Amino acid sequence: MAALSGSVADPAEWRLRLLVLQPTPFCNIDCSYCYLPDRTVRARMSLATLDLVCQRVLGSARLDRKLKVAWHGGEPLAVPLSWYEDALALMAQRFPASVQIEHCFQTNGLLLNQDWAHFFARTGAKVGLSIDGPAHIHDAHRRSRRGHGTLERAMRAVRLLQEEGLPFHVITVLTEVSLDHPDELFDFYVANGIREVGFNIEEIEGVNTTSSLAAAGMEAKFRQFIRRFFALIWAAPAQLKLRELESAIASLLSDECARDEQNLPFAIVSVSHDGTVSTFSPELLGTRHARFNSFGFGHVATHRLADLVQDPRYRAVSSEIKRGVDACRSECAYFRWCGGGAPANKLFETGRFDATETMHCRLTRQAVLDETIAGIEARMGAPQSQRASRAGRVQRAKQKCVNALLSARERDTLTQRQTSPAMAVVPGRSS
Amino acid sequence: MGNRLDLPVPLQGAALVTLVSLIACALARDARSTQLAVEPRAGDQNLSARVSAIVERMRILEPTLLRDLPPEWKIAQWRNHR
Repeated sequence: MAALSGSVADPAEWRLRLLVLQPTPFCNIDCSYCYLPDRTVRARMSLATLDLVCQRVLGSARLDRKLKVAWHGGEPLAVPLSWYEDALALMAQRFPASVQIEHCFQTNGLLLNQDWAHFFARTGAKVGLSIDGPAHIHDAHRRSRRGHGTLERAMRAVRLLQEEGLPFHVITVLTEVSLDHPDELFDFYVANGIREVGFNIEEIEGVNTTSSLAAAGMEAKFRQFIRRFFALIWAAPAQLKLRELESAIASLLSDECARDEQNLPFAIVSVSHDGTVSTFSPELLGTRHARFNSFGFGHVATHRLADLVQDPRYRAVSSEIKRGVDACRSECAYFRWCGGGAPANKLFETGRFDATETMHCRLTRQAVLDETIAGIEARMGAPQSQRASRAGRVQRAKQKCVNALLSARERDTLTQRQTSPAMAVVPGRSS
Repeated sequence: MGNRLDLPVPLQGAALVTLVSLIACALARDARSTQLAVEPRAGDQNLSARVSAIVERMRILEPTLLRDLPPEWKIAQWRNHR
């Protein structure tokens, strides 16, 4: 079999395609696995800061013609709708028509009402809801500050978006509890008309320093979960789209080595409510670390994006991330389909960006790829070239089995009677 | 609350077209796939060879799938980015 060919894209081709904006660090709920330290802070991005963000992004030579703007918190809908009316109008004014902007909101849905739904419809903004599944799974982790479950209110948002005819996707954080319930999760999505889902995992990141998925035996359980989910989706592929399977298949079919946008400098630019700028993994913004303190590499008021590369902390982080990707490239069998993993997970799991394998990559990359490959193989039959050798293996296995079953004397008898058509059937029966 | 909502009409949309569904359909049309079930081969061959086998089969069964793969799908995306 020919080895896969693949080329790594020229760094000059990397473009700024994702702008992650944090209009507020505040969140109206208190999920047990949240990585953000400042989610009780009610600060809000000013329009003047947003205007500077537009100037800096527009001034970047790396800006792509298509820019996704992800409004990400905290809880983005904790900022009043009127602010977004002004913010999106400002951005529409600042960006030329040659730059196609797509706004995306990732929300817990609790504050979503008809006004928001109309706003999303009017602006064409994409909506992602964070829902972990049925109540016994979702409410175990996604709770209000008073400790109440939030599923019921999140499902009101689902119903509202559906009534308005607005498409949306769901992001589910998998924890140890979820892994026991693949069928229940699948049924939950289908029964509630949820058609597109992405699985995140409970990560060790920021202020969330532990994960139920880091316990012994969890990887095997996770693989079993993905295997079962693959089977459920394969049996009814028109009902549910799972991001993980789609991206795994896309990377398998691609003739290029995968890249991870989190490892490409300025492919993602993240800006906090106060105008602090970062790049690489968006989770780095707002988190702190003993070795680097913070990951703000500049401020929109004082730095062009091109200036950030002069920041000593940026240089240290960037070169450590690059070493990590190089190490993955030389050590890991999955690199071609992964692109080097997520820097934030490397840092918060191992203390370094130049690490290689993490729990995050074992589960979300390796396990998903393995199960996708095995799932397709199991359903595609053996290729012609392997069928002859497989037939030989099967024949040998059958013979071994017969040998084990028959005593030496019986084998002798069989040898004496091998011309008998009836006896010739025996090996087949034992298979 | 229960897990099931009363589904409003708009969500009864068209069937989803996904890479899983395209591959499943391609294999369903391929008689060979139904002739011989295959046991998982993990560890039996290296990853690259196993992926090559899948790619080759898809190149034969559904060439447009490989040819028309959108470039952005070749980039591993941030986890909260669809």
